[in-house]
Amino acid sequence: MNETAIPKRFLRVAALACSLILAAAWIALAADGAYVGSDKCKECHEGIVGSFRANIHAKAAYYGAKNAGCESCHGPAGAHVESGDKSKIVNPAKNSAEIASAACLACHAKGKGQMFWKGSAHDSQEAGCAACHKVHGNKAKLLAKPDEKEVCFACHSEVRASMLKRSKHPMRDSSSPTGEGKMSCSACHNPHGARSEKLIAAKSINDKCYECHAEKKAPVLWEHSPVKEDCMTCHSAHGSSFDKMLTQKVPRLCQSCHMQGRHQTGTLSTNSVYALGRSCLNCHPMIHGSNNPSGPVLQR
Amino acid sequence: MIRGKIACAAAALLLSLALFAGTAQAEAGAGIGGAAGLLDIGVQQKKVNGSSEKFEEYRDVRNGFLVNDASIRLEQDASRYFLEVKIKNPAQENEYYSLTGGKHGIYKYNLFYDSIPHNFSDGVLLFNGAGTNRLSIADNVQSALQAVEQTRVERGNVITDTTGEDASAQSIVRGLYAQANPFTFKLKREKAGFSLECNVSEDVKTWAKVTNEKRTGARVITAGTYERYAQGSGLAHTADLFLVSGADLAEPIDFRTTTVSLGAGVYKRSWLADFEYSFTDFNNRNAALIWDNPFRITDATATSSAGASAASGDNGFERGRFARGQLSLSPDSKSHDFTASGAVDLPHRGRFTGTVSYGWITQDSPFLPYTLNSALNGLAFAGAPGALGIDVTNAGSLPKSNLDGDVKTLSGSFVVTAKPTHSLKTTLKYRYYDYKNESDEIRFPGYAGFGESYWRLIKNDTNTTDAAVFNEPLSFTRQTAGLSLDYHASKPLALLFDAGWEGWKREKLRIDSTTEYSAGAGFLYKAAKNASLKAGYKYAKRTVDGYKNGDNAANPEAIGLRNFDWADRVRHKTDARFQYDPSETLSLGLSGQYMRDKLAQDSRFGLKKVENVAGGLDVSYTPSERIAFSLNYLREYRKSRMNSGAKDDAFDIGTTTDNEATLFGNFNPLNYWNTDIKETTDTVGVGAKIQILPDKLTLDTSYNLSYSKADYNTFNPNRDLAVANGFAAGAKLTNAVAQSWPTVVNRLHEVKANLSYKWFANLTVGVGYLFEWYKLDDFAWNNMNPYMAGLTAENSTKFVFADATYNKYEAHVGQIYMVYKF
Repeated sequence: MNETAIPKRFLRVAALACSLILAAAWIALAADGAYVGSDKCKECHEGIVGSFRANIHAKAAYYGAKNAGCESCHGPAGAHVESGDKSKIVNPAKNSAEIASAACLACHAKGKGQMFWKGSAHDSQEAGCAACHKVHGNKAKLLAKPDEKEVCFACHSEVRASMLKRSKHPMRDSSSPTGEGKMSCSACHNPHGARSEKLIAAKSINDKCYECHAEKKAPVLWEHSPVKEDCMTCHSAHGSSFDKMLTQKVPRLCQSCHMQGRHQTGTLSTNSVYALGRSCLNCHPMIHGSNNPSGPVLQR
Repeated sequence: MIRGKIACAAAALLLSLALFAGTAQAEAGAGIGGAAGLLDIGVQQKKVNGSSEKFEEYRDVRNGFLVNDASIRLEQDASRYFLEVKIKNPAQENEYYSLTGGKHGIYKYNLFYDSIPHNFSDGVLLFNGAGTNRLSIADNVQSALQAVEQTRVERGNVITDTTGEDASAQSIVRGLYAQANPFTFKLKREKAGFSLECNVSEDVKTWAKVTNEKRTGARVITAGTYERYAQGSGLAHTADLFLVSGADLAEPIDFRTTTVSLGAGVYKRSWLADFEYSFTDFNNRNAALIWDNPFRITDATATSSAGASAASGDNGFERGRFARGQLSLSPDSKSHDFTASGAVDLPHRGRFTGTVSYGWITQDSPFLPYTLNSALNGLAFAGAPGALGIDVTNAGSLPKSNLDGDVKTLSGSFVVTAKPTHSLKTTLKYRYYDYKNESDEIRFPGYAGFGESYWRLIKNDTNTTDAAVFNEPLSFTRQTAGLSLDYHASKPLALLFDAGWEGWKREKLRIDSTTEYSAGAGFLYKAAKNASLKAGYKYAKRTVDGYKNGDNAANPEAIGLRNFDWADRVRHKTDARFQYDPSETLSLGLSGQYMRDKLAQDSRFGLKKVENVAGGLDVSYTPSERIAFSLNYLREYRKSRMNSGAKDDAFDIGTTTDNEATLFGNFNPLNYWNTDIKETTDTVGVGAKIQILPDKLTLDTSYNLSYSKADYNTFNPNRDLAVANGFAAGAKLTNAVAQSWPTVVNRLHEVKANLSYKWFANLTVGVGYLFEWYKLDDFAWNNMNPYMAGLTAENSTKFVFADATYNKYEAHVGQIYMVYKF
């Protein structure tokens, strides 16, 4: 062993120390004074501190954050306690998204769920942690609103609109017993970043679809290429004004890619069997592919 | 009855637990008892007029006493252990149970069961055995209908015969429908699972998850065929008429999907690495659906136009003459995936994150025989089963017994971010996805086509080279790369730039590759802490390489047709969002999007243009702690143009230079038709929450409206061309005559009102009301009847539908409830 080499242990400790210093730097810049402890905070902010007892952060010490308390995120409160001045203490929610999120990531960057956060759509759009989460809250996942979908809809209003359309996934209105809320946005998306486009938490959009629609995953004898390439070629996953979440009404959807026989190339009247009911699927039901030796045109 | 008892028992148990916990809480002070939770119970009454299955598409809204929600969490302040039970809608179709427990920072487990109903629609089925894989019709019915079968020769030149055999057949079928039982097409997903996460040390985790999902029920599936019919003796087929036959069937759903995943990882503050293996087994307990043809009791083959035995090259007349039909249902499959992920911090506040997966999917379910129509064995023309000496009803006659399906996938996703200066952030992304289909390529001597009544030797029908009957296991590779720069020019202003590339390579498809480049720019301007404006624009251009020209074996579609997902494309996309909070009580958000695609401008057919516009408004106003209002509105507008043409082989312009018959096969310019599609959706939501008595009596109301309209305006573009060539202004195939469709309209009104009274600190009682009104105007569904004979453009005497549709409902639901929190 080269005696002049820097010990690895020293490097690891140094790297950790640097990370902690960086994460805490913004706190030091924004607040000064001594640490006073959470009990001191409780004297004035009893409600907030009290609500923390049922908050997962109350157990942070068990997850490696020793001595976690109010000042873990708000920085030293000494100056604030002395003066009562709000500007003498850090309020992450009112800082820039990057700075606010840095406080969270000081601990949460270790999580697998956040591994794609940096450079993700929300990160680059400056929608930081505080945009969706309320650290003091007691709602599930410490979300800012009672329901996950409501958090997402605050920016993604077109998705909220899709929930009310003719066909959609079982996502609408989970706030009441009469709701359908069996799915949430995070069933498909990871808002903290994902390996696929559109924050899809799977290898690809299709692979996410196959998780619930496993019958469409396998190779079959006669394929319909969009089923394997991209389900979104024909379907609109958030909802649609047409049956089966199709992007367009059949038969026009099919006719935009298929022109062979006479029966499929007609303008089709409103009383044509080729346009009524399931339209093209009245004769080509195996639209997702057929494993029947006599099914090359997806008829059986 | 049993479900009701289970619900009562669950409620009683939870109430006991709640009271026990509440007592403990009262004795020991808030939270000290270590138990917290809620119990939401009530009485509900509904009234639904119309399509109740649509109202309850994904839910179970039932009358009577119900436990809506119940949960209990046991956890001492000073303890690392916790246990949580959650129950929703017990003993209902949409029930949910979850048990979570563990030791903070050491391990966590979860056991759950979730049930999701999916009600499609009501319908009427002529068949017995609905829900099973064998749908039957009484023999005497089949015999009676076969006895009145009208052959082509008997039919002569009249396609719509209402006085002969057709009338007899229709009378019999209508009699059957009069006795048929209604049937509800619906599914139910029941998923149960267990997961365990263990922290081996502060930085090392392992996990295991197992889930099993059972899907049962039946959904509509249709088996049909058609036959083209030239009306009138000696006429060119300017008016193609058709006979159709088939049946709406109930596809039995009995799926099991089992997934297992195991993983482990090291998670440090500056780096992490993990590995996961996952396995999925999909099992369909029904390999096939076999159904009796109501119109035949014995097998027969199609014929020549003169009624003789079908010969090679015949189009096949008298189609659909099988006694039993069969459909292959989704085959069983297995898939495996290995995934390795990692991330490491880099200099300049950077980070590298990457993940790589390798997996494979196999499918080797046995093939069904070509057909159950034994009469095809008698076809003796060259290449037909009789000549080949094969039995088409025996799977042993197939060249292979299964596909030996095997797909390998390799995917990767990599991101590098860095912040080289205080004001500049860069992100570089690269993704790779390779789908390699190594399934067998099988050549079949032919297949049972035309309603399983004829032996086809070709896969499709073109004017040049027809493809033999073999499968083409498609493969593709998709790669994307992107670079984005985020430059903070000043404190309130951030400038955003991005550039991207996407490439696809494909095998065994009618296209070789596509390449798309994109570039975009935008800004985020925070004029003040309470106001921000964000806007961006992106330009993208996709080019195509190796699109195989149509009308041949490689691409049987029309020459000049480009599939929109494989077409040249120029895209302009812009979006903007303005957020302004003038005070702590008022918040205003405005958003807008515009996207325009131009596709395959140098080819004639297919989707040519798409425009999407959306604009929305979000307002929330809280004038006091007791009152809050909200309003949202969104208008979405989509306009697209698709070009098409009716196929012709006898009605042509002749020798003029404008005749594109040689260029576009049988698609004569006179028979071109285009459709402009305009879809508009308005969505409105308003809400008010008013504390009538502060912290005591609260009224929460909301109204939502979704109103969409889709117009399909079809027109013939070449009127002047026809006139210039001596044709009458309207000269064209009947099939090509522009027929605009009635507007397709969806309307949903939803009103909710909830009046709650907080009786005690932990007890709230209330009444709730839900009103929903839905109406669908869609000719394709509104014009449906179970039996359409005499009502359709085609002769549909031999097509039996189930009318599996919905159109409107009006629903009222009233609730009285009590929520007890402890």
